[in-house]
Amino acid sequence: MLESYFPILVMGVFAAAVAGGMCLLARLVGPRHATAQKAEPYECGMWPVGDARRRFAVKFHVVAMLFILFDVELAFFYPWAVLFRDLRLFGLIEMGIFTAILVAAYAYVWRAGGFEWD
Amino acid sequence: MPDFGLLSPIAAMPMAILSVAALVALVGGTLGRRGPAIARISSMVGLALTAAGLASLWADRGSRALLAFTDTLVLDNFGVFASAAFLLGAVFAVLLGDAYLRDHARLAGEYHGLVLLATVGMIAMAMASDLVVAFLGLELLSIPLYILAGLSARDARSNEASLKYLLLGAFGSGFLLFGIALLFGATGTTLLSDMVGDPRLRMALSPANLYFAAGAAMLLVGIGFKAGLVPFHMWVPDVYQGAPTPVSAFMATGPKAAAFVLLFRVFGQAFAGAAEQWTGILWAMAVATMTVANLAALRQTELKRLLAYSSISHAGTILLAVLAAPKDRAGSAQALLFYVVAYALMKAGAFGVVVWLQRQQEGDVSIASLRGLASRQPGMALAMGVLMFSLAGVPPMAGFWAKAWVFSEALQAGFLGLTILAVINSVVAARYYLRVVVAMYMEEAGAADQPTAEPSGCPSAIAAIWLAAALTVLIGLVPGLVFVLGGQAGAMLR
Repeated sequence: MLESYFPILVMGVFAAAVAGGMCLLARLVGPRHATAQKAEPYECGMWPVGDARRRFAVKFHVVAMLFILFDVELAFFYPWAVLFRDLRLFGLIEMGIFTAILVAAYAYVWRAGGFEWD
Repeated sequence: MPDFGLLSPIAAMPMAILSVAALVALVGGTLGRRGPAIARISSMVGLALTAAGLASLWADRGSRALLAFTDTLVLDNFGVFASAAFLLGAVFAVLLGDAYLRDHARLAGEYHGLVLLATVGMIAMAMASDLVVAFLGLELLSIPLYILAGLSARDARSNEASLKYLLLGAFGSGFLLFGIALLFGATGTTLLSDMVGDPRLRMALSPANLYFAAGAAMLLVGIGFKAGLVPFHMWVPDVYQGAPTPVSAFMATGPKAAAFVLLFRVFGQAFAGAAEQWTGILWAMAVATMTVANLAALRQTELKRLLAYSSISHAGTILLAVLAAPKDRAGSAQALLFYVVAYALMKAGAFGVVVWLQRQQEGDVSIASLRGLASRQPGMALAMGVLMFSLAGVPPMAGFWAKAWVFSEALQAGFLGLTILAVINSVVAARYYLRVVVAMYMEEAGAADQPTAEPSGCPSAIAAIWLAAALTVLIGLVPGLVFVLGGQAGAMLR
């Protein structure tokens, strides 16, 4: 019963071997000349200025959270789109209720200032 | 297109009404100046309509239990009665919330909306006939509570309470879900109704089945966390103390009851055939819960922590009803439901007194701040005294009858040693309840305990306290009404 999963195991082992082998060979055979300029952080060709230790604005976290919520809502729409014909009126009403709840959430976030960037 | 017929919308109607009210409260709370009023009105109207809807679902259905939503919801009086008890907790949460929201009017929409959503989750747990729906209800209950516990964003203890509850709750839910998966592996279904009704599946629920044993154990861990049973009780004192007091009141009444209703449905009803396997574990948990909670409560001085440990010890006592379930399902259901109602009233009232006390002093409300309350505020001291006596199980309060019936059920089921231990624990518990009464009536308030401010009016909190105390005494004097209704609910249980 488990034999049908054997090809997946083989593929997993191969992927690990190839990737691990590349890293291993680079470490064993590759040259290693460290210079001060090579050790600096890359900043798209500009000279790096200062350190990266700054306070992280919490508004990014709000953006991420809202994205997750509405993206998952989107993910629920896809199956409905596929089965639209078969689900007919029942599907419409059910997804309508689902969407209405999320519109209420949207209205709440809007009114509560969640979409204000500053 | 699935054909649900008319039964499914009817079964889902209480949850639907309450969800709509929750969303209206949540969005309405953001509408500027009138926001808090809109939130409060919509939550009260929503609770009233839901109560009416639940009342319409109460019917004498004989021995049939109606299943709705492709057998995932069960429409029986047990679920309706339990849902009514949860609504009672939500009503108290709304009443007590006014005192808190007076200073935090911005949060009115969130508070009311989240309380109502948590109640929807509890109703789903009570009416669930499917483990996945029960899990859904549990999560719908828990997530608003995580937020509510941290509602005082500037208070470090509130943040701590919320984070602890979230982390431990997520862990507990993980165990619960794994247990459900293992039970699915054992039986091939997540429907409790199938597990009860199908004889082949009942064979699968035997102690010999490893999947069942592991699944049931994990399920017990998950539900035990929510109910605050030892050894999963560590979060209760910290979360009850850190959360805003109206939220603590809500957490002490509804969610604990919901966890026990779920425990009864799963272990008392579905797994009753395999009783000899899980009875030992639950026996040990009951004894440990009562003992540990009482011993810890004896040393508490801060009132919210004391009430939290008292909650845990009451949870241990309610376990006796679940233990008695395989022998006498209807009677133990009746005892459980009565205990749930009485316990909700007592705890809501006690936390209400804490809410009232917090309005007149800074910092923690300790037993010391209750000293001499009888001379300062005789009415409030009387109400608190009544509630403390009821919690201790002294007649003629409701708490006495609750404990008496649970103990009698346990005795009839043959748990003599357990009942004796429970009675001993009751006596030990009386020590810390009576310590509060002694402080109020027989000690003088020290200079440091004088109230720092005049108690500014929080009429709804006072109303809630008096309602709780009055109902406690009323049900204690005339327990028949609740008991008979509970009996009808228990008898309908399939």
